[in-house]
Amino acid sequence: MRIALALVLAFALLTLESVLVQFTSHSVARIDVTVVIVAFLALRGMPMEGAVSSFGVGYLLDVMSGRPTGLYTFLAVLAFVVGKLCSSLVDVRSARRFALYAMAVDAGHAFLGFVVQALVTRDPLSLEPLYMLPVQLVLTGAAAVALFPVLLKLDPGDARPHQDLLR
Amino acid sequence: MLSLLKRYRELLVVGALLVQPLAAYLWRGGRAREPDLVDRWVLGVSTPVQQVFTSAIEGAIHAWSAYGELRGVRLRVVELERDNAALREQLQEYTEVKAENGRLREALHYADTQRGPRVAARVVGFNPVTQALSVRLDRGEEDGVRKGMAVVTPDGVVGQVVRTSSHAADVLLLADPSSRLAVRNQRSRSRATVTGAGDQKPLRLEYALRSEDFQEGDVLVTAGTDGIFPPGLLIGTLNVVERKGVGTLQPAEVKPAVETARLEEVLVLGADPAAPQAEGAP
Repeated sequence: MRIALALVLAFALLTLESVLVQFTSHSVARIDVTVVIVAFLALRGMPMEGAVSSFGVGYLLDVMSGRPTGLYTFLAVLAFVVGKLCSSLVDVRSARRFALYAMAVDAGHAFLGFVVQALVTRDPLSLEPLYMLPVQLVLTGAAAVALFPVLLKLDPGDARPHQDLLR
Repeated sequence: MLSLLKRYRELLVVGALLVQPLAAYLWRGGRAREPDLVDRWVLGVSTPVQQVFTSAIEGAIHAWSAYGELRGVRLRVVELERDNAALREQLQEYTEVKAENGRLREALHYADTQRGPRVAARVVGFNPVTQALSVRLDRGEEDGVRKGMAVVTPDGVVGQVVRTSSHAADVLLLADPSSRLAVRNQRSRSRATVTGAGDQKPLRLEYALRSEDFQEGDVLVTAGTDGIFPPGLLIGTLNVVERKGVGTLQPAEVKPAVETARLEEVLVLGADPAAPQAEGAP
């Protein structure tokens, strides 16, 4: 996926999400759209291109968070690196499998974010993000299912044809 | 050396992308940085897009809700709601001013409670990260909004401006766990601190001494001692007061006066020049 394309998509999704939260009593804020994009980059992107895109996507989330610290930029690149290392171990060719993969990346992303924040910051931490993690994973998985066809159209990459076509 | 760099170029770049934000985060101890040029540019681009999205969605919602109603009646209702909100704000102010006047006259000390500048702003987006509860406003530095300003609605306190750019500002909501606000019981005048407890959860009353008079149903207002929020702004209502057998404090739950999930328009208040200057809230 081209870097600019990833950034534009992340920017559009984050902006849309930030507006939709207003009308949905905060439940939409549980969707980690940036993680879905990073997970896709880890599956399809080249290492350099994917890392730079993930950096940009994480930076956008940082800026849109209202309190930019660099944490989400770091987590996005780390999620990409770990996702890339694991990508050869998984077979992700359907939207459902991509959703499971994105949920796994999101779980690591959220948990690590909480741990790093707890270790570094001296502000009082709420455990709510951890309590709400299952809901966040389900919503992010749903978003991954919805975004997978869009991401494939934007960047078909070197995807192997579906098994059914070989019959 | 050059061939080595070429050979490990990818690894070095990825490593740098990984280390740079982590180092910046650790260096600042997890605290947010001031917006730089790139941040300002991103905010400058995103805010109009958010405004367009917000207007489009609001327009669709309003069109749907107004379906079947006469245009004149609808406009009249909107006008009356606005008047009602303004009158409620005035009533709240008068109640507080009346009580304050009584105390001040008794003490023969009168202080002019002149308020600072006010900027009306529209909420154009909510922060998409669950760890920090903040909203974005469509007014920024060029409109007179500055970091640290108080943000309110006619219903009560919303939060405090934590970051600004030319045409946008981010507001940390009172419900955020890092928020702190000095409050006063409107009935008994007892003082305490209100903190956030997270999204869609009641606020927490802290540092309320057992000897102080706090009862369920009491209305809490800003104490005005932090130099940020003027005194007398509505915070919420005491819901559950925990009276334990031991201890010197009586924690309580506070039902916030402002429903932040449905925020549309807010008022940004400048610092009151007459108020005491202090670090703090929220």
